[in-house]
Amino acid sequence: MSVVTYTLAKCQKCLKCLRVCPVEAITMSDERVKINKSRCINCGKCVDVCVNQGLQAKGSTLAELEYYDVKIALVSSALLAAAPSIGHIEELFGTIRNLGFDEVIDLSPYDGAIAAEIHERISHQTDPYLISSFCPVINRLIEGKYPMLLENMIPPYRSAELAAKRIRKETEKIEKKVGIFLLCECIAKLPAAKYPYGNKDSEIDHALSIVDLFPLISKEFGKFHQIVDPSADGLRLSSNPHFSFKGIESRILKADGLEKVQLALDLAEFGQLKGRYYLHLSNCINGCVGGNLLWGNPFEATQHISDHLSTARGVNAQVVFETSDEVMDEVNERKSIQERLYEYALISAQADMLPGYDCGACGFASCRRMAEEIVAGRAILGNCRILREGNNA
Amino acid sequence: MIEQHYSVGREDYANAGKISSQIKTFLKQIGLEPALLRRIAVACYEAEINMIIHSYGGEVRLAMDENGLDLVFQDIGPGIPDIPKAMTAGWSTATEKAREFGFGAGMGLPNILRMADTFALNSSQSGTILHIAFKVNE
Repeated sequence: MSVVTYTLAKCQKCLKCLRVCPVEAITMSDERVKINKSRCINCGKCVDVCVNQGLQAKGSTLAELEYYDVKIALVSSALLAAAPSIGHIEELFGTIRNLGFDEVIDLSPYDGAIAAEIHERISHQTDPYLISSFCPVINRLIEGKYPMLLENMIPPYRSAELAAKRIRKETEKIEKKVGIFLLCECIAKLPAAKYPYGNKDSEIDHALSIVDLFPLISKEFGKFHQIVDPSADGLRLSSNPHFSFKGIESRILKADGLEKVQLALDLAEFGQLKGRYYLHLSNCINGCVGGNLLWGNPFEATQHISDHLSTARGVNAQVVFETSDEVMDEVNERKSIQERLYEYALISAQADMLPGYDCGACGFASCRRMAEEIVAGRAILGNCRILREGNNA
Repeated sequence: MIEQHYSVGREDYANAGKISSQIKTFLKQIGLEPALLRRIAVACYEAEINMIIHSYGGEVRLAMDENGLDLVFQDIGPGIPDIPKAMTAGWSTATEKAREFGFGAGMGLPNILRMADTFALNSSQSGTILHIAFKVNE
C-alpha cells in the first residue's frame, strides 16, 4: 500500500518523481501525477526529489490520542540514534510520554530478539543465501522485481508488531480502549497501522511520522525523563555499519541505499555472491538510522549508535518466532505463456517505433513503459512529443 | 517465437554480465516461473563469462516460444582442447594466483550442465558452440 499522497496545486509538473521512481510506479496524465498504489514500494525517492512538497507521506496525528483510554507509544530503535547519549534518550522518552502517552516502549529489545533469530537462522544456513526482511521497501522491491529471490527471504518479523501483540495480550482483560501508536523513522513503516492505511493484520492502531513530532519534542525537551535500557543487539540491527555476528563477519554482505541493494540482488540472481550466506539490505543510508522521517543525518546517527553501544546493557525481549507458511504472493495475472510472448512481441514492436530517449515527456517513465500502455490501449504513439516534433519538422 | 541476438567481444570484461542482465529482464517481463528463471540466469551468466574470458569473441542467440527457451553461445575459437576435463568440477585454466583473485573457480561448465534441461557442447579450434535449452511447463 502506497503512503505517498499527491497535491495537484503544489505540483510543478517537473517529472522528477516519474524519472526517479525505481519501480516505474509514477505516471503523468491529464496534467496530474498518478501513483500506482500496488507498484509503489514506499522508498520515498519521489518525496525526496519533489521540489514543492507536492508529494508527501503523512502519518496519523496526535489528535487521534483522544479516542483511546490507554495510549501506548512504540519507539523504533532507529530513533535512539537521534540522541547523542543514553541520557538524551531518557529525556526523549520522557518528553514523548508527556505528549499524551501513558507508556512509551523502546523497541530495541524486540529488534534485539529479531537479530538473535537472524543469527540462529544463518548459523544453520549452508546453501546460499538468506536475505534480510527488516526493511519493508526491500521486501516489496524483491516481490516486484526479484521474484526468484523470494524463497531466500527470512520471514518479515517486525519489532513493532511483536511488541504490539504482547501489549494486546497483556491488556485483553482491561475494559478500556487501548491505542497503540508507532513512531516511525521511515515512510515505509507507516502502512503498519490500521489507520489511516487500513492494515487489517496489524495490532498497531496508528503510525506517526517522527519528524512531525519534532517541533513538539524540541519545545519540551529536557523537562522529563524516563529510564530506558536499550538492547545492544537491537541497536546494531538498526545501523548497518554496526551490524555483524562474531566469527561470520565475512559471510555477511551488507548493502544500503537502493542502488547498492539492486546491484547485490542482481548478483544474487546470477549466483555470483559466493561465500556469502546472508544479505543484510536496507533502503536507507546506513540502515534504519538513516530513516527519511528522522531529523539529523545518517552519519551522525551512526556515530551515536557507536556511543550507545559502549553503555547499552538492556536484555532482548523473549519472543517466540512462529514459523509461518506466509509466502509473499507474487502478483501475476496468469495469462498463458503464448499470450505473454505475443504481448511481449507487440510491446517490443511499439517500443521500436519510439525514440528510446526515456525522456518521460509523454508521462511514462520509459519508452518501453509507454509501449506497454499503447498495447493496453491507454496511450497512442501521438502522445510521444519527440515523434510529434519530428513529424512537424 | 521471439528471437534475440547479442554479440560478445573478446576479453570485454567491462561489459561482463550485460547480456545476461538483458536476457534476465526479458524473461522477467515474460513472467517465467522463478525457479526456472533462476536456472536460466545462472547458466546464462556462466556461459557469457566463459565466452568473454576464453574466446576470441562471438555471439549469443536466443529463441523462445511456448515450449521453451533455446540459448546458443557461439564463438570463433580457440576452442576447448579437452571437453571431458573442462566438464570436471573444479578444473580451471586459471592459474592459482588468478583464482585467488576471483577468476575462474572452475564451476562454469558443470554448473551450466546442472542448470539446463538439455546441453550440447561442440568445440574445435575454429570455435565452440554451446547449445542449452530450458523447457517451459505451464
